Amino acid sequence: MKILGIETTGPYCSVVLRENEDIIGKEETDEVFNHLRSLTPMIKKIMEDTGNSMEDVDTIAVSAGPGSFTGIRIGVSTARALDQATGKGIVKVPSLDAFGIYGIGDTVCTETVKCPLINARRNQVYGGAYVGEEAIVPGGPYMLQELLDKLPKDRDVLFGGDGCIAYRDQMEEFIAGRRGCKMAEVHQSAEAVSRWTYENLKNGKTRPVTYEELMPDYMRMAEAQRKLEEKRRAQRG
Amino acid sequence: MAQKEKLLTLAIETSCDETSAAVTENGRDVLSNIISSQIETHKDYGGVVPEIASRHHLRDINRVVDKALEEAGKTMDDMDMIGVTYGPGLVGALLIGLATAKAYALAKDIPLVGVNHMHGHICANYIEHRDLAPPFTAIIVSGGHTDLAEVTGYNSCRILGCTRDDAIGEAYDKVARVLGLGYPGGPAIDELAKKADPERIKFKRVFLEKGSKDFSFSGIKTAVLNYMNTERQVGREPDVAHVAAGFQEAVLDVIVTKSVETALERKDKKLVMAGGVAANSRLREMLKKKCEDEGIKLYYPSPVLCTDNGAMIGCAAYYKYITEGPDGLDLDGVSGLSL
Ligand SMILES: [Zn+2]
Repeated sequence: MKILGIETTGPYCSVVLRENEDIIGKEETDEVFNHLRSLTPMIKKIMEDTGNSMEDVDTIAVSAGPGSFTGIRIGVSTARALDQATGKGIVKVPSLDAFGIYGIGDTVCTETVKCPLINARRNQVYGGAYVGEEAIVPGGPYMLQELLDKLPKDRDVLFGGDGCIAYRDQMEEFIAGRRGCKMAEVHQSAEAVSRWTYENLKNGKTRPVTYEELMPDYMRMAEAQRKLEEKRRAQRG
Repeated sequence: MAQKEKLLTLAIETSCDETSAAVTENGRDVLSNIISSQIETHKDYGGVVPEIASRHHLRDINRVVDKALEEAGKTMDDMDMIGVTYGPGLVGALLIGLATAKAYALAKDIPLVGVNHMHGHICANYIEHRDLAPPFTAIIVSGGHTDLAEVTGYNSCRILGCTRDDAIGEAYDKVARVLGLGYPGGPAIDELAKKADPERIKFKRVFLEKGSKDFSFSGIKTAVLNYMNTERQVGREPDVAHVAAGFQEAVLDVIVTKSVETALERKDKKLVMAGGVAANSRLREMLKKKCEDEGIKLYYPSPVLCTDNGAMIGCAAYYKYITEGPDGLDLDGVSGLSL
């Protein structure tokens, strides 16, 4: 089974072509937030380098959020249009699960808690906590401190994602106060996205959907909409 | 480059708050032109909210494309190229169209052609006026732009003058807000002004330095606001319809005068109007009269082709493709792209 994996929700855009257990093609940008320019040429390059075409792909896998709103939209729009043009189907990948389970540290290690921290600004993160393939704190939007408080106190924790950079001071303070906690310099990757897809397709825990069904998981309303709804509630109340 | 006799283009437009797709044949034949407007959504906010516009474009674009193909009686496999707006516009809105267009071009291995939205507006005229050919003078009036341009070829034009502050459509929106007419301001003011006397209340015409082809509309909102306040201070409730008509006359007078003067100066016997505000009935009336007086032939598209739409992008894409060839898949959105 060949999976085209797309990850654009973080600072670096990446694409892989996976054949079952193996990554057979991989492209990654080293420029931050240059997804719109990079993504389609990267897919094209992978296809050319590996002698494949979109016809050879069995399914498209896309990281659907949460993360950068703009990034999410570039990946999801691209996946939707690729499916519309080829009918290959898309697996909608929860960004935090893919990153937390397969992107940070070692998957088979069931000792360490892995904690993705994606910067959501103003002391907020999109995050979660994973042990092996299990979420012990479900992926979602949290205040940074709220998420840190949920982490088991007797376990080693490995953090990853741009939240480690954005909240470096607070994170360093947290780590200094706890044994066995570390930050890894890793970001969301298409490798993890395609791995999540492969494992979950194999177990029958997910299935490809059509472009019409694939919508992003922003996990947040648009700011203007939130304010409008607050105002309306206040007027009613 | 064009080996086939007929080039079919799937064209996509998502630069602001209209999600649109069209199928066009060569430059001027429109097989379908589907426009999904978000205007009802943005009315709640008194203007276009970029984040919400992006979300809606993403939700709607593929469905709009399906509809465009269906109405044209074609499939994606019939398409010879993809045309897409790459600027100017809201960056988050542009990228939905761009990401989508690039994915189609990649999947079907067909050329991608990035179109300047303003050039698209001009091209809307080629669709409806089969006899129209460059060179001509063009005036592009919309929510984001007020540009006077010389069009020297199907794929070449140059700006002669533009607004130094607000676009004409922006001025309409701001004044409509002052008058309590809601968003969008253009159609509301146009409608209300029909029942009023444009000469009753006079606002200053801003022509700038002698010979300038630029515009300035940022002062008129204050002028209208001052008028309303002064009236109320002396205990009179201003007649909103007369104010609307007076405002409209003042801004349109400048546009009409400068456009026609430019066409005369350049000895162009043709003046082409384009953009969302080109649907304004008073502007059409005034420009028609002035052009008749001066012996200039005036062109403008019907209202559906004045608003942002895919068909005009398809037309512009065709002319760009046959003169310049395709763009790379690394095409980026350019929010502030100029003509
Ligand atoms: Zn426009």
